[in-house]
Amino acid sequence: MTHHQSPEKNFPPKLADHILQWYCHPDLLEEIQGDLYEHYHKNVEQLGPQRAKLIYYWLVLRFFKPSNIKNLYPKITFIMWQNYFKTAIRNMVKQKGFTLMNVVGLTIGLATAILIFLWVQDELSYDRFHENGSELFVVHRNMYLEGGQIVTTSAIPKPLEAELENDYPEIESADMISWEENFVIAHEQASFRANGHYVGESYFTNLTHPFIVGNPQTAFKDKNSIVLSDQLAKRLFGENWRYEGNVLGKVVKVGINGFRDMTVSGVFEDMPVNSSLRFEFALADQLYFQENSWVESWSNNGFRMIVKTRPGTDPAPLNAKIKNIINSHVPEERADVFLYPYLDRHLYSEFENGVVAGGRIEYVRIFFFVAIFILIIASINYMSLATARSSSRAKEVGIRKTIGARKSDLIRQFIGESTITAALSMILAIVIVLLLLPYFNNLTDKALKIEWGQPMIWGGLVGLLLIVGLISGIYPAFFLSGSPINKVIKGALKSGSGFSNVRRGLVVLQFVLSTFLIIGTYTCYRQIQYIKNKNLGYNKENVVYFPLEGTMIDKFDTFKERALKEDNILNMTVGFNPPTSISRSTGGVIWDGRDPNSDIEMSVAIADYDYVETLKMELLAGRLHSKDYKLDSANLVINETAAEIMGMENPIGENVSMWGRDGKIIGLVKDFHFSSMYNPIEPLVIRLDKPSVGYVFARIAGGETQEGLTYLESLAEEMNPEFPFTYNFLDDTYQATYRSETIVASLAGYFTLIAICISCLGLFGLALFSAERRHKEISIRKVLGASVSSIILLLSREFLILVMVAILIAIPIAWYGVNIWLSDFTYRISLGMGIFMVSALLIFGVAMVTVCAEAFRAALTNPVEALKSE
Amino acid sequence: MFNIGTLEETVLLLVIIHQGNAYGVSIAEAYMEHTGKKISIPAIHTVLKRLEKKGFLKSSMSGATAERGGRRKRLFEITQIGYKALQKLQDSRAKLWSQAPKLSFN
Repeated sequence: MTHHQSPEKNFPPKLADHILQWYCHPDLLEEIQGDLYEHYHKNVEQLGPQRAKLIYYWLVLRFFKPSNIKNLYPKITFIMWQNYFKTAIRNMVKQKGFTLMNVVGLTIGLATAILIFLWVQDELSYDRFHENGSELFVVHRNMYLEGGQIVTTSAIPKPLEAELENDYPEIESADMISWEENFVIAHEQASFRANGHYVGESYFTNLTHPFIVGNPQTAFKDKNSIVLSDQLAKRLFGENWRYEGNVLGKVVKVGINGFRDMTVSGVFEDMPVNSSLRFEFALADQLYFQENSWVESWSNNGFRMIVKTRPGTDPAPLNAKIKNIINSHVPEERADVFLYPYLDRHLYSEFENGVVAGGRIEYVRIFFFVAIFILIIASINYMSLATARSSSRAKEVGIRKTIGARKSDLIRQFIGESTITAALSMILAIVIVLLLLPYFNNLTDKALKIEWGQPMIWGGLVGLLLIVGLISGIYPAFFLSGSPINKVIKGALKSGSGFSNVRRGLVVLQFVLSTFLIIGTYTCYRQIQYIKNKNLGYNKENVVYFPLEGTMIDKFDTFKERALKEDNILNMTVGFNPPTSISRSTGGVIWDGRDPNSDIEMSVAIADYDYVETLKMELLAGRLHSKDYKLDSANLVINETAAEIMGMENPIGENVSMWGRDGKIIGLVKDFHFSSMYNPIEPLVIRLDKPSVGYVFARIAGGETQEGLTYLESLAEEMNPEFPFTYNFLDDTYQATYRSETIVASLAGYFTLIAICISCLGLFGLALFSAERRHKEISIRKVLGASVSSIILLLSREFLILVMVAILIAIPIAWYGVNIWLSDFTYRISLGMGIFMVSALLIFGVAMVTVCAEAFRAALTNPVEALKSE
Repeated sequence: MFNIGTLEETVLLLVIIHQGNAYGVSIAEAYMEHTGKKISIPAIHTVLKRLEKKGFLKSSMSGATAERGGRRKRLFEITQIGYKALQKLQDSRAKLWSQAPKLSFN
């Protein structure tokens, strides 16, 4: 044979060899590798080492075919699976208590997680049904205020529409949409309120709200058209309007400055629950524009606008182009225009300093993590119980290993077992979810349901089940399969006090999560209580309000006069907005010494006489608007913040001009909250002007609400018979402002309760196990004279130390977390030690009761019971 | 009975010719020498294995060399069935040939 180089230099590439050895069936490896080596050496001589190596790689690859591949996943026969299944079921039946605990824990955990995931999925689905969703934008404007503050709003001036449509080819169309308003609608005998908007002509073609009858393209050709929802059509024309002749062309009356005749030009399908804008009818924006010329000014921001771009338009460069449109028309103020994706408006609706700062997405994230936390807590229960019981399975593991089970077989078996438990729990969880959904929907204001027809749901549920099965099973599987055979068989595997370090870690983790949740929930609850009960600076109790409309607009003074004759009506006024949300603002207040270049936006409360008196705000100095003074409507009452911004220590009597009318500051009221608690109190002026639209506010004597209301109702029906009397309590309206926070707080409360229950279930299981395993020791101690209390201490000490550790870990994390949440609020509770102490005591108390209950039972057992058998 | 393909037939004949040293590499080389066509080691292995499965070949492990890294070869031998099948193929071909008239294409 020819000369050979030294073997080391001559070896085929190692990596290729490894690959070959990895996949090649052991029976074939020798001949294949031998042949390859021989071939390789010949190639080295003939073609050189480089090519020989390449060829070697190539051939290794070519040998990779089924006939040469070893059984990477040895086929486990059906019998084996059957045996695993049987063993799993037998074990579950044998250890009923533990099985019950595992199944209950996992079921509650899964049910909670499914509910949360349904909620999350619903939140994420908002507005996704719009076919052109990604091409729809809401126009926003960033207002740069004095002092560097940037306020973002979707209120924009109307002339922007024409300019966007005409000058920017990227924009297909722009549609105005008014703020939601309740109108009275009447047809024949029916008369009720419904919420509607003025919308632009292409609103119904750009957004996906299919018409049942009518043509969305031409629905607003005539200004006096109205488009109804299916539900509204049913209320107006009867359930079967579809089959009872044509509704198109029918005339309904709508209460806009007195009743107007509107012609029905279309009926659309009811807007889905997950539509961020939902209304029952729409009117043509042109109708509004024709009668309100003020909208034509670039300084009046009375509408919102939805823009549809041409497909494929990148919004970033477009935003750069349109940024200064308003600035070029109104140079004295800075307001940058930008397009904001319509699909983001539900979840990302809050802006801070001109950029998105979150919104509902925060709650979506929080709950998503709560669901994960709860699943982890429930899985940990399974883990710690399964490993704690390992000694009872040790013999089985030993036998299996002896007769040839590999570690991987055992791991598969134990993961299979946890998956069976998870599957059982999943079935129960689904049943529970189906039972609870109506209540959950009620609580969350949603219409969630499990869409069985959707493969996504099945995938999600099965995926969830497999993940939970895997997470729960993986640690016990490695733990149980890893023990050495000889020890197992000899029975030497007695796992100390029942506490491996890992199990300690798991218990700590569980309670860290629970403590975190309880602190979070408790803080949330306290903050919401704080907001709800905060002294607002006016008295919201016993105030009822209703829209000013119809003949009441002209006859209000008579109405008031007659109402006040009744003893239980204490006072009455008219205001443009309820004091819970004074949304109107202006930059048009001028005072002596105002920097002409500064841009100061002030909120405006337009009100009739007795506004401050009726709502019981506090007058600090000066006087209020009064009929005793002529031309009082040019004079203003301001709040403390306004005085501060104007830089006036004693503002009474100072000159002031608003909207071109010169007057004086006549009164100073104490700051009161007129918008959300998320924002600081803004400067406010109260201007006397009897609004033609707005609300009548009446203060009723405490305890005589019903009588007062009845009287007001009869009076309203007598004087304004065409409009139904619908009223609200100011207090209710205020509470409703924080409805989503309240929902979130109560949900968080339930979920925390669940998390704690599951954690304690696990703790109870471990305590039970520990007591069971140490019952001989306990008995001997008792015989030797140990007291019940010392035994309880012995049994519970270790658990309680773990819970303490968990609490100590959780407090700083929770402190950090709740501070982030609270920082959104301008008016917030301070984070004292109280919240943490209460939470810590609560969780410690619950844990102690759980553990000690079991320890107590163990300590009271008659020692004879345990010892007699030996 | 199993059919014998052209490649299989050649390989079987080569195994007979190289009796005592018929294994993957040697057969592959002999094949190249005989036909002038290249054949890869994995391909030869597949054919040999298939022939063994059909019962035409039998094999045993022996003949380790240094350049094989001390690994043995799988040495193939023709079985009686294999030999007969080969002969039958040859006979029937000869029979057909004998019936075929001599042609000339000039």
